[in-house]
Amino acid sequence: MIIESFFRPTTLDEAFAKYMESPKNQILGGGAWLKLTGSRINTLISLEGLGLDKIVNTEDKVIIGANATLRGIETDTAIKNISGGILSMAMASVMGVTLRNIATIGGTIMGRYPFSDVITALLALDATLVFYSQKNMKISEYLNQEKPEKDLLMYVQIDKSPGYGYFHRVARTSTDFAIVNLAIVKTGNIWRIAVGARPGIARLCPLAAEALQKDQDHTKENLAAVAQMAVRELEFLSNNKASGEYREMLARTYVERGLEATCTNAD
Amino acid sequence: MRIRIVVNKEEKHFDVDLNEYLVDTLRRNNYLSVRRGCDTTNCGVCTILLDGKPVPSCSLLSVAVNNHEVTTVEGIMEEAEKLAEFFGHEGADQCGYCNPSLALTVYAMKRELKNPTPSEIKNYLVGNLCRCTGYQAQEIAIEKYLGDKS
Repeated sequence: MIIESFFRPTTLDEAFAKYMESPKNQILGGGAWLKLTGSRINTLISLEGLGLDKIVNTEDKVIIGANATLRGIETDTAIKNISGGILSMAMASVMGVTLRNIATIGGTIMGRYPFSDVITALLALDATLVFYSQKNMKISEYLNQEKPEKDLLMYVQIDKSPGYGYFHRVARTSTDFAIVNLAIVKTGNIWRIAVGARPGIARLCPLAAEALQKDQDHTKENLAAVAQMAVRELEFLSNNKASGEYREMLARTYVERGLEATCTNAD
Repeated sequence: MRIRIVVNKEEKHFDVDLNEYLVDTLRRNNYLSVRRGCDTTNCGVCTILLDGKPVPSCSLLSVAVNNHEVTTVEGIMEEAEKLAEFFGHEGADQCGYCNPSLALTVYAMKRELKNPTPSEIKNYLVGNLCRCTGYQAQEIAIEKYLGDKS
């Protein structure tokens, strides 16, 4: 990695203008894996001092600044109370406290890391991303874009709708990247099942969620069938951490367990 | 680029390269208790406190730390010596390479968590690896240190 210049803007307008000046200008997230990218950066832009490190708790939502650290989000009381605290759990699974004190939610989302536990939880929570130029966009829509428009992520919004959530990750060691991760949220009669680290980026399972919504008879057998349906919606591939077959088996097992836990706790 | 950092409560000015990481800036300026390990945020031996929070200095660009406060183990000597005594009593100290970073993380944990459980202690220290001790003696020493009221 080679950085040609460093810029600390005093306003968001300045930050966005500088970011758009060159395709080789980049926003500094936490910077944890910056050195591993090997890229040349014309201007590295720091978002420090722009108020994007705050977490604001309103009556119906939590608004997280893009520069908020994973540790700050993990320990936030309001976030711990949303859907069984699955976002806090996902944050807490990311390596150690020291890394989580520098890694930011903005860096995680814009990095589109396929192994990310955080992105999987945000997807199940139906988080809204607030960009400087494009304004509001659901995270599912953002992740579905193959080449997203260059934009500055300012906030992540999560609704405080009452609901139950389940999060689970499987990894070889506690600090390793997940072999597979998943999150389930039930809000009223709406279900969202997200599976990540397949090893592709997290995706929702809309058909399985629809089946749960239509058929209210959530017996053990029916939930097992829905878990099977969920994994059929996704593609599981092999890499040096696990085979696609193993990932699929893990995902099916934990989706089923997650659905059972969600039904038990939500009813 | 010239940056200003308050290191162990002393104001310092360093000339740094834009591509330079804090671990290098500190070591170049004789803060040698800040160790270099994996260089990829995994081992934790480069831990320092940034504005009171433990962070890996191998992954912090020095320019991004401009106008912040940095604490190395020399900045918490009294607490580090107390912890070292508990480590000594429990035989939790071998090569010592990870000790400064561990002391800083334990110090930060003591200030952040009230009466942490053994599981909370382990979770807090998960980013600080030790290749010698096997952790058991460290855990006992840390629990005793946190429980010490003297």
